[in-house]
Amino acid sequence: MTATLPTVLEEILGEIAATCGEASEVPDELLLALKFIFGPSAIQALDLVDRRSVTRVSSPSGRTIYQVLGSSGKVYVCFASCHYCSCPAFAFSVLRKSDSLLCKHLLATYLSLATGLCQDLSVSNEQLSGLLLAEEDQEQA
Amino acid sequence: MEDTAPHYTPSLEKSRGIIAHWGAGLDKRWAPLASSLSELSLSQWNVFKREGLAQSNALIGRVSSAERGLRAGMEALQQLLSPGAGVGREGCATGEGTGLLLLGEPGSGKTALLFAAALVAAGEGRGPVLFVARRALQSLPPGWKAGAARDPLKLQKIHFLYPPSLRELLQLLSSMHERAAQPPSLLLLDGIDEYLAETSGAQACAHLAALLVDTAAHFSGCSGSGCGLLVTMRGPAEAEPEAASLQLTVLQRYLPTCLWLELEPPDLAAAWPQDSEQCFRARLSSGPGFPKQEWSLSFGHDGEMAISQVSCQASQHPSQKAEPSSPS
Ligand SMILES: [Zn+2]
Repeated sequence: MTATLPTVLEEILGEIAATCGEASEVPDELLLALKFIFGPSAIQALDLVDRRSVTRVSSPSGRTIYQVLGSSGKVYVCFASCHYCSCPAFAFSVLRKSDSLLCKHLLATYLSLATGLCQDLSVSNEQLSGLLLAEEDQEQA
Repeated sequence: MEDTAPHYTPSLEKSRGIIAHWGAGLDKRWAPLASSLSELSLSQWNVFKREGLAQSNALIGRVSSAERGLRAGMEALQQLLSPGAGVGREGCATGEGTGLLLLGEPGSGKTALLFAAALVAAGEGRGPVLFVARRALQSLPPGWKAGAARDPLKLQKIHFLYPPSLRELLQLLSSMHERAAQPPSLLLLDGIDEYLAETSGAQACAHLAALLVDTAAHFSGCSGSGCGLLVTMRGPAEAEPEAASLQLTVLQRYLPTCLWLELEPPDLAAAWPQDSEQCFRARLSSGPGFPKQEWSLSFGHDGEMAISQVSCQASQHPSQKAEPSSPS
């Protein structure tokens, strides 16, 4: 992931990646920090991480995207290089109202990467194009 | 937000204590956060309590990023237009976005600048240049014909693509990775506003902008030498419909570096060397209310471009700072 994150989140993710290791346990003070910054979204995101809801989807071309299985059972798409999620909360709270920085799916993606709890899936180039286009979510746009 | 649980809002003192604890106990990298928190004013603290740390971090970051943004746009443009400099190479190394948004009224030279960038990138011996627009141009920008005629091989490296609708543009960007034999060195989109006019949704706008950034990032990863991204947009009018200003805000999330182009007033253009066919003034801004820097760009008959900074005090006489090589 090369998306530019707020320094503070980068610090926390770095700490999580450095301290978790095999145990996959996030230290209490880092959990506190996450909750401090993201409020209730942090808990929801950690829940998604616990349920292994984040999948890194790659194709032979090398293009990558993240799929997050939301708590409602709907699958959302998060981009690898910039903050974009196809969920309605991202459109509303992040884009429209600018009152949150990330949705829980993007946060869960960053946390899954930091804790090494991302699932992996390989698809064809054409299938990845379909995910990037997110055709099934067109009506929400 | 569906969750109604209250935000975690400890007192300022307690927060500083927690952060000081992190700073001491975990890593030296916490120090910048601790010091920026200790500099919070009371009003910033209230924002902090209300909106959480993320918002106040953005608040603190805004002032310094405005100063950085002031230079970033022009540097990005100079990088795109300097042969051999390598488009976006530096940006890739730091993981920063390499995109640049050019804003301006019709006739302010956005397309001419895109062509200049296309010709420069095409002459660098790297991948092809993708020039995407809704329709083919009626006429070529000044200086471009001569520059292209001088080196027809350059022209062959510029691939023109004309998706006629937003949907087809999204399809083009989504599937670009499938068949790019050689990763492009530059991705240009002329007139993103023409596509955004089809929608009023913030999500659709973000989807398009994110696809552009993600596509350029993908090609940057492929080539190792970077793929630049340059997008033009018609500048917002005075009385702006709400939907369009929201779209600009959303775009700037993904393309935070932007340049405003203004056509040089005729009397100022007259002060330029006679062989310049056209001058553009680039007004660089990093947001409303922030100081702006002005730059003048001039295109000669051969497509050569000269850039000079217009100092604030002597803005009536940009020629004073123009290329020293001009005779007379
Ligand atoms: Zn989301």
